Amino acid sequence: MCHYRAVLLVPFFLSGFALAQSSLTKPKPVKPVKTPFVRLNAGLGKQILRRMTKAELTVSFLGREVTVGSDGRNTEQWVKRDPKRGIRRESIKPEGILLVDNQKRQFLVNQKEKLYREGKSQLAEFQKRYLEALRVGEGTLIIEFQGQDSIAGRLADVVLVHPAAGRAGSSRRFWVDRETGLRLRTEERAQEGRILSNTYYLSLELNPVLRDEDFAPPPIPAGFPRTVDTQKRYATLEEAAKDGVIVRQPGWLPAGFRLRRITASQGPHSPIHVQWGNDLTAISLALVHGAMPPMILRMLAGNEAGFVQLNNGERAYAWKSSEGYYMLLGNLPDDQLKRIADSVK
Amino acid sequence: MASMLDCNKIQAGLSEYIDSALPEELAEATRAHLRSCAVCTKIAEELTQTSRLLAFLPRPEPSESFERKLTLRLAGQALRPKPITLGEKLSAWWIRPRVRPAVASALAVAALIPLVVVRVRPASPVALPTHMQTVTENREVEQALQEHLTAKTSEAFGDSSGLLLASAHNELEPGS
Repeated sequence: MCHYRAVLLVPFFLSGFALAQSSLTKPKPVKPVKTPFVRLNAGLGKQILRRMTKAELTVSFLGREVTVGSDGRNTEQWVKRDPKRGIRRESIKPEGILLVDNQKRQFLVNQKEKLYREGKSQLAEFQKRYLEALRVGEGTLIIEFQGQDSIAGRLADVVLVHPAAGRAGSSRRFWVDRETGLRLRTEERAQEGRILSNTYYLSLELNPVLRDEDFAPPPIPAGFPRTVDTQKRYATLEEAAKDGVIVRQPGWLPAGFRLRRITASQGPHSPIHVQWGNDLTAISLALVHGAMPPMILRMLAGNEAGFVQLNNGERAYAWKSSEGYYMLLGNLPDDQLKRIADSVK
Repeated sequence: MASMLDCNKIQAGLSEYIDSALPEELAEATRAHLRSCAVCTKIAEELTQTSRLLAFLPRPEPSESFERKLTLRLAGQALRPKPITLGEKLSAWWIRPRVRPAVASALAVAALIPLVVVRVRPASPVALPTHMQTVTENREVEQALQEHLTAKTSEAFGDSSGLLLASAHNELEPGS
């Protein structure tokens, strides 16, 4: 009798198992078919993102922000943003790190490491980013409006942007403030689902009183060497070649990535960086003229090439060459990273 | 570490804070949080106002017969038969026919579900293998990483928060 009951239970087990499998096995696949709902959803998502990008050009705020990296390390900082004067990030945890971008120059000061670095402004490219953001969705990225949430007590619309089906690259999810259009939280995930970073506000004050000194070049602390970025940047390979900067190009790149810039430091043996982007994330190829550092050699365990884990969850593939060594950085699946690297060699 | 839960925790204790009923340590933490959080400050102001309004309402007084009725009710409860405990109810249910096979199969299914979830869900963060140390020691490698992170911030949907994390990386403990 007991055996008979056990046999009766088998279909029950199987149906439960099958049900669990069908609902939980895979993340929701991206539907290639554009139903009216999908179009409406994408249209709404795109509209929210446009608002977000515009808000970053127009809204002044003071926020307390947390950034959590892939390994759980996190920083907490005050963010002062004035669209006309720039952005200032002042660390609370750990103390003593300051990042100021006044739309002309960018300054990074790290008290503990006695570092004072000055370089080109990233905000200066904001207008360009804005125009690019308006194009997003027409190419290789999918935009999905996912619903509403609450961040720091404020109502937010949640929008996911990810590469189209069959295309490589990480995804970003944005929590966009319903009232102002500001991004209240950003989550970046690698293609396999690993969280790369999570940035969010604990509090937000709109239109605060900010001082001019907040966006002025920070004074150089006594005893700190000042490192000035003297790199030259080129928009095309031809432009770089005219200056004698020769760099190898990959024969294959994932769809959607376009050349952004080539950066070369001054000096005959300085590193050269080539970067491609897809509006969401970047792939970088660094050529270093010199011997591979011991840490990378240890990771490669005697091999000429292999994968390397960098800070902040970034992934790289490194290999030796006659010119020194190359590193290809980007949060792509390992097989794609290797495929790009192989097409450079 | 301060986290997204801070506001929730602070807001949960705001009533006690306003009534000066929080321990001093928590009250100090709340004061510090309110200095930096506009949202919680607003909620605190609203609660304070509500509290002030309530203070103006007349305090309800018990009726003259309240004490006598309460004593009678308590006495009545004491005379009632002892209620059946949860353990006694469960024992009675357990000895009923067909209960045990049903519970056994439900437990088996429940045990299978987590296995399926753990095996197939890719969304949770993947811990890096312990042998994978991160590279921080070399100037060129550090520069390549900074250049890469800067390139990410220049993308249409990038932001510069990651630069601060990269700069602070050596000072922070994993999971800090």
